[in-house]
Order: sequence, then C-alpha cells, then structure tokens
Amino acid sequence: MAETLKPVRGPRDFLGGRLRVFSEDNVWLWLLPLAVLISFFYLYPVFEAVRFSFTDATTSSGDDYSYTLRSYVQTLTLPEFYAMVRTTVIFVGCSVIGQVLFGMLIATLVYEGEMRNLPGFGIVRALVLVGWVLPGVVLGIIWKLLLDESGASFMAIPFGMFGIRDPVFLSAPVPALAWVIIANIWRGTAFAMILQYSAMKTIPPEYHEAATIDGASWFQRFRLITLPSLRNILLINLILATISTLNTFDMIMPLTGGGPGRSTEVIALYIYNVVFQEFDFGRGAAVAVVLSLIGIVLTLVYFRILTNKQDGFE
Amino acid sequence: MMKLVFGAAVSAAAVLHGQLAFADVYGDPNAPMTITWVTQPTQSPEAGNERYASYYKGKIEAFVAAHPEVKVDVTLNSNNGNAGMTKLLEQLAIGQGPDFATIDSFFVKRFLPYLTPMNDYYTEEEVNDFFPFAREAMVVDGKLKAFWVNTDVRNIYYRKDLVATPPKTWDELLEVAGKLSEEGHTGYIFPAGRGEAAVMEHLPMFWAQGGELIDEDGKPVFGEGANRDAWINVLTFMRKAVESGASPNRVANFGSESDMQPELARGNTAIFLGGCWMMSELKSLGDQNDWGVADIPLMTEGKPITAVGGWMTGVFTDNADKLPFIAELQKMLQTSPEAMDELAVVRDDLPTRASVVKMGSPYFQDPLNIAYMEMLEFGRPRPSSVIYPTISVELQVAISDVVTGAKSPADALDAAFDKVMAQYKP
Amino acid sequence: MSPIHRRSAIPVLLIYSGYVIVALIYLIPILWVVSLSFRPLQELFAYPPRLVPMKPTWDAYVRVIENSLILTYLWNSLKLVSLSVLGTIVVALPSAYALSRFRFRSKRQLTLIMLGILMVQLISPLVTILPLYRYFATLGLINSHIVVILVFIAMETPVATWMLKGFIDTVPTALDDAARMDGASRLQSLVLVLLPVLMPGIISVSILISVATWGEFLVPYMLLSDNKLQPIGVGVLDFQNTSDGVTTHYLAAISVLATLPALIVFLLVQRFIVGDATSGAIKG
Repeated sequence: MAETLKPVRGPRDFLGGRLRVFSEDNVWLWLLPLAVLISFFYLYPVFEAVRFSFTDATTSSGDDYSYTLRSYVQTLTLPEFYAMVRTTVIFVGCSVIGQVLFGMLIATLVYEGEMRNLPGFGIVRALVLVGWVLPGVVLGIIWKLLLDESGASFMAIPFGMFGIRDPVFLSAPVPALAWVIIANIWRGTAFAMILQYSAMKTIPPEYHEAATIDGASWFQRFRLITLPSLRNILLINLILATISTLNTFDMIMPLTGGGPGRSTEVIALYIYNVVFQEFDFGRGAAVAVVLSLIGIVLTLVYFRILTNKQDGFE
Repeated sequence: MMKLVFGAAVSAAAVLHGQLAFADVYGDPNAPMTITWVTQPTQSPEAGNERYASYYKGKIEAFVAAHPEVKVDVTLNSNNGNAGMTKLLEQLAIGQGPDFATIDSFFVKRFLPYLTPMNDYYTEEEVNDFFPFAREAMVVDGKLKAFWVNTDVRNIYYRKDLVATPPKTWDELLEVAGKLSEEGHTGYIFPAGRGEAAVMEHLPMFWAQGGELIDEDGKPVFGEGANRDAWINVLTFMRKAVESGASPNRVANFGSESDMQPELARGNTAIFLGGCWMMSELKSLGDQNDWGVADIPLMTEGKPITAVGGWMTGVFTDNADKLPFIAELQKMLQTSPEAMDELAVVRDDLPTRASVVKMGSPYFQDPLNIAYMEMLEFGRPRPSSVIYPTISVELQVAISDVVTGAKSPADALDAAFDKVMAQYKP
Repeated sequence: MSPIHRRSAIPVLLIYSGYVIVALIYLIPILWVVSLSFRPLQELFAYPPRLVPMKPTWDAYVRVIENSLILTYLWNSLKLVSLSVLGTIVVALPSAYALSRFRFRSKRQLTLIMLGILMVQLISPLVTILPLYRYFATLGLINSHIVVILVFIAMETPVATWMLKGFIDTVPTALDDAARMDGASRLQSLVLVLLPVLMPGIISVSILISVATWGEFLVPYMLLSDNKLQPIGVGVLDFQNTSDGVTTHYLAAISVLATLPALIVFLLVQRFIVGDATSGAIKG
C-alpha cells in the first residue's frame, strides 16, 4: 500500500550530491533570510546600543564620549528605580493577564457566535480591532479626555449620576495606575483575541460536532477541545503581550506623562524621557539593557512553566 | 466586486495624491543655489492655520522672486518639540543638518557647537534692540549665534466679575480663591502635573525669592541653602492651595497649559496661572467672561517677575556664499522689527525687539498685549544649561508628589536634588 | 451547517449579552473620538458632556484634508504597511516552516533558537533607532521608503516567525508528508498544501504586522527627513496641541481618517477568513 518513494529532484541531484548545503533539506538555508535580516537591521544596532550603555554619550555628542560604568551605576543605585520596576511589573502583569483573558473571552464569544451563525459576530470582531489600530499616542490623548476630571468627559457622567462631582481618575497615584492598566488592556485585547480566535479556527469543526453529538456542554467542549489546542498560542500570546507591554510608552506619555509623581512611569517611558527629554543616550541605553534582561527572565519563566510537558515546543 | 471597489479606491487615492503634492521647494527649480530651512509646522508655509501659512509663503516667494538664482527648500520638523530637536541634533552630529532652522530657545545651548556666527550681518544697534534676556542667549563670547524671534510670558488671569483686585501675594491669592471655592467656583488652578508648564510657571515664584537653579559654572544648586528654602516655600504654597480647597485635586493632571483648557472651558474657574497665549485659545473655545491679566503672585510683595520662552532661529551652514542670502531671508521672515510686527498680528507672537512696540501696529491696541509686553521687561528665560531638562523633570516629579500629598515638600525637593546631582557632570 | 444549530436559548442569550457588553466597552471611546471630530470649537469641552454635538460640523475634516498632508500620509502608510507585510510573510514563512518541520539536534537547540529569535524583539526601538539612523546615514540611505520597509520587516519577522510556527505546528505533519510522498518538494508542499490551510493564521499575522507598523512613529520619523514621505503615525503627532491653538478636534478627525482605511481593509479581509475556514481542509 505504501507508495515507493520517488526521488525528489532538486539541485542536489543536479550537482551530484556535492552541494548538499543547497539542498532543500538543509534547515539553515531555510533560516538564512531571517538570519541575514536580523543581523543587519537588528543585531548591529543592538550591539551599538549595548556599547553605548557603557558610555556617557548624549544624543548630541557625536563621536565625543568616553567609556564608563556610570550609566549603570546611576541607574541601579537610584531608589526610585526599584519603585519603577515595581510599577512596571504591576503594569505588565495586570495588563497581560487582562488582555489574554479578555481576548480569550471575546474570541470564544465571537467563535461560538460564528459557529451558530448568529449575526453580529463580525461587528464585534471589527470593533475590538479598531481599538487596536489607533496609534498609541492617539489612544493616550483620547483616554485622557475620557478621564477628564473636570466633568467634561464621558467617564464623569456615571459618577455625576451618583452625585460625585469631582471624581479622581488620574490625579492620584493608585487610580492613575489602575486606569493606565485599563486603557492598556482595552488596547491590547484585540491582539490576544485575534491570536486565539485564529487558533480556534484551526480546530477542525468535526471535533466540536462530534462532541456535541456525544452530548457535551459548551463548557466541556471548551475545556477539553478548545483549551488544549490553544496551549501553544497562549504561550506565544503571553510572551508577545509581555514584550510589547514592556516596551509600551507611547500611550502612557500623553495620558499621564508618568505622573502623578512617578507612579505611572514604567521603565519604557523612563527610557523615552531620558533619551528624548534629557538627551542622555548612555543612561537610556543602560536602562534599556536592564529592561531587556527583565524581559528575557520573564520569557524564560513562561517557558519553564508552560512547556515542561510533552507537547511543548518541538 | 470587492476587487472593483478596492481598485477604485486605490486609483482615487493615486489621483488625489498627485493633486495634492505640496511644493516644498520655492523658486526656480533650476536655480544653482539651494537654501534648506527646517522649521516647525506652525511656523512654516504649511501651517494648519491659513493666516500663518500665507505669511510664511508670501515672504519666501517674495525672496525667491528677488533672487532668482536661489531656491528655498522647506522641511517641517515635528510639533513634538523634544523629538524634533533630538532629530535635528542627530542630523547635525553626522553633518547632515539644514542651512538654517527654527530652534526651541530652551535647547539652544546644545546647538552652540554647530551654529555659525552672524555678526557680519547685523549692526550693534540692531542687536541691542533685542530684549536683554534674548541678547544673553543670542550672543555667546561676542559671537551672534542665534536670534530669539518670538516669545511668551507667564502670568495669572482673573475673572473681573469675581475678583475685584488681583492678588499680589500667596496669602491674598489663597484667601480670595478659598472664598470663591466655598461659593461653588473653582478658585484657583495651576499646572502641577508632569509637564514643563508645572515648572516654568512656578520659576518666577522661586526666582523672586532670590533662588537660583544653577550657579555660574552651570552646577545645580537649587537644593542647597537659600535656594532650597525658596523651593520648599513654593511647594508648600502649592500644597496649601489644594489642602485649603482653594484649588481642586485635579491640578495634578495639568502637565501642560493645554491640559487646562477643558477645565477652563467649563466656565467655573476664577483665577488661573498660565501662559499669555491661553487667553486667545480660551476665547476661541467660546468663553464669554471678562478676564484681566496680572503679574504672578509672590510670597511677599515685591518686584514682579515672569518666565519667558519662545523660539529662536540659527544658521548652521558655513558656506560663505549662502550666508548673505540666509541673513536676508531671516530678516524678511522673522528677525527684523517689521517681520516681528507682522507676526505679532498674524500669529499673536510676542516680539523680542523693543522697537516693535513703537510701530503702532494693531496688535498693540489690545490692552492685554500691552500688558504682556510690559512683563517682558522683567522676563527671565530658563537657564539653557545642559542639565536643565533633568532639573525640570525632577522638579515636575517633586511638584506632583507634593500636590497629591505623596511626599512632603522637603522630602520631594531633596529627592529631586539628589537625582539631579547624581546625573550632573561638570 | 453543524449540529450546534440545535441550541437552547441560554447560550445564545449569554453570547448576545456578551456582545452587547463588549460592543459598549469598545464603542464608547470610539464614538467619543468621532463625536469630538464633529464638534465646533465652542463645544469641544462642553459641560455637561454630550455625545452628540448640538451643532455638528465638518469643519475639522475640511481643515485637516485641505491644509495638511493627511492624504499623503495615509498613502505612505498604505505603501509602507503593505510592502512590509508582504516582505515579512515571505521571510517568516520559510523560517517558520523550517522550525516546525525539521528535526533539530535536540529539543533544546530548537528552543534556544526560538528564544533567540524572540529576544531580538525585546530591545526597544527607542534605543536602536539612534544607531540605526547613523548606520544608514553613513550608507547614504536616509530618506527612502525601502529602508524603512526593511527595518519594519526586520522588526516584525521574529514575531511573525514565532506565530507562524505555532500555526504550522497545529497542522498535522501527515498533510505535508502525504504531499511529499506524492513527489512534491518541500517548497511545493509548503506553498501548495500548507499555505491554503494556514490562511487564517497568515491573515492574522498579517493583521498583526499591519497594526504594528501602521501607527509606528519613531522609526519613520528618524529615518525619513522629508515630511512628504512620512506615514500617518508621524503625521498624527503634528496635530497635538501646541501653543498655537486648540487642536483636539483636528486630532480626532485625523484619528478617524487614519482608522478608516484599516477598517475598510479589514472588512474586505473578513470574508476571506470566513470563506476559507469553513472549507475544512483536513480530510483523511
């Protein structure tokens, strides 16, 4: 029954098997474009950035700088740095969990609705995406207007109905951080939704059909069919959402500027301020390196937790 | 079907794109000499505001008409001041800067190594016509490095129907504002968030007490001795304003002057601290109240003082052939008294040359403008030291920490000073 | 279509309530922006706030379209985004295929490679942009769209590769093995067999890349000196409040205009997802 394997014709046969390196079975050949691209457009600048983190360069110093560990020392010995790390961890943690959960929720809603041919699922899908398409800076401005405490904003309406004339949204440290997280979840849920929705779509509908015929409830189907298939995507989702949230500053900038005080100044925003407002490139690079290290640690943690089982990544 | 729609959309876009190609090179395309100018969008021929745009366009077109051998290439920098200045610096650092550019007065010190002196094109009389604070920034070691072309002042505005005489001291201000707040108004608002406005609007209060941010060598001293006390006084005053109810909590949201506009448009505010351009903005939002302008209240009664900002223009090329043309273009556009006078009317820009006031232009029919002009006499710019941006950021943090009650004035100030000193390199 | 048609009322009710809630959460800020864009200056910060302005006006849109380069910016964005997406998929797909279908020396090696690829994503463009600028300036490549596109591709390919690998992993190897047994080369099996099945995944990756690059500010801003080459992410910022007047409504109008193309494209693409997924590619 097994068909005889016909020889695959390729350059390998052409050149008598000598140029094995160009065989389509050489995995490195497949990965070459990626490697080239990353080296030229990423590794070199990254290397430079790391190099600069060991200098005292400013953005206008051109070639006039010297090597020093000062940037790192300054960064790590500042007490506020640890407060910022804590703020960043809270921000990233809550945002990522929120995004992934809401993304899953909405993806499920949309998928189930689609399966049942309920009209309207496409609209919901599109709406969520709009929130994501808007540039971060614009979102920051919009949310700032939405959260205007003087009453001219939309958010003030429900509070007004309860008789609270001067609601506190952004003018105190804790609510400010909370709202920044909410705005970030609002923004990033679309990404999680898209990922998980697409993964749900690759599950053969027959599995669901069979399960329903067997009398499984929606919840059982979700738990036993959908969730396991989402495993890999969830890992990717978590990692990507974490990385992207770690690097988010564009929305926070117009929303709170990092304030009040430093309560919403996440590390990425701090880097922006240091490089573009204080013109200190060496210090900015140093903090960026630290941030990347944090990201690497987090990613490794995710990996450990989520892939120590069989079907992890292979 | 979808393909058709998509195709149509693409073609439409292509056609429109062709139609709307804006000229950014003025003059004969074959002219041998090109002068490149980088400027802010609102100070360019492509400003969103039509009156601004036609002013700049008109001047450039007149210039190239008079000099057919020159063409002018205008590039717009970003409205986002800091990123824009950073980009300009980067370009200069690798030798790809423009011939001349509009620079934020705040950053001029960073541009000094690249600026070409223009002493040959201005008489001493002309230079002295500029206000003292402007001259100080423009002339470095005898070299005329840049020109301060427009400016602004900071002051308080008060509702004439609610406030009989404007307060001159902090105590008076708190009293008046406190009473008005009790009656249901918003007594007094001021910028106290993360933004340059929070620092700049309060610098006069600090300077009036004799406080200095940095010493002659550029070393930060604002956290030492009498300077420290001065800042603690200012911070304590701000905290008192919020605690006493004269000001609402939400001043911690106001990082820039424009952050205050939604609040002001609400129509409930009695007194506010801000910049002189805010009134015409407020009017454009439909405000009908009668406002007066007054000097910034100080700790104790004394000589008034205010902080000034604005834009400068500087030349980066050292091509001797181009310089005379650039000088002329600059005078036509921004640096001559005539240009400043026109700009005052068109853009509401406060001129930086004393002679402009005497030219009798319509701008000075408005008593508010005369008041601003008078404030220029005691205007002081921010120190253009390299460490100032860091000082500003740390002070912003301190201010918002104090106003929200997160830190005491002394703690906040000391923290700010320590941060700055850690960053400072002599 | 499927037996799930046989449904009780409860799940449907739940689903619809979910839709309503989600729709509201997302509609409110969006409607607010739209509302702002149609307001005359006097109503911009009206109190008490109303969603529908009393005297709606096209003023902001007119000004924005006439007096700014917005259409140019949108066109630039379209160009940059579509070419970046194309380029990214072209580079990422073979890489993802290789990572999914080849057996590596050890699972660890594969994991390391995957992680390595992802780590690249971690360094914020904030810091790489300055060296990048200098690097290209010395090569004389500043101010060209091609460079920006290449940088975008470099920025997005790691993510794209990761995600595509994940999608390819969900496709049983039986599928392409069957194709190769029938004599197809790897490339053929990738393009002719896997590609159609992966379409939903490829589309979502494309959407991801599009969104990431559409609003991108820093990279084009620093690498393109000519204002007329800038995409919308840069153009939008030119309308932030300055000391020359309140521009909130302009910003709102621009946001609407900037989002509209993305919305239209998505509506076009939506059909594709629906059509393909129901074809049930995996048959024995």
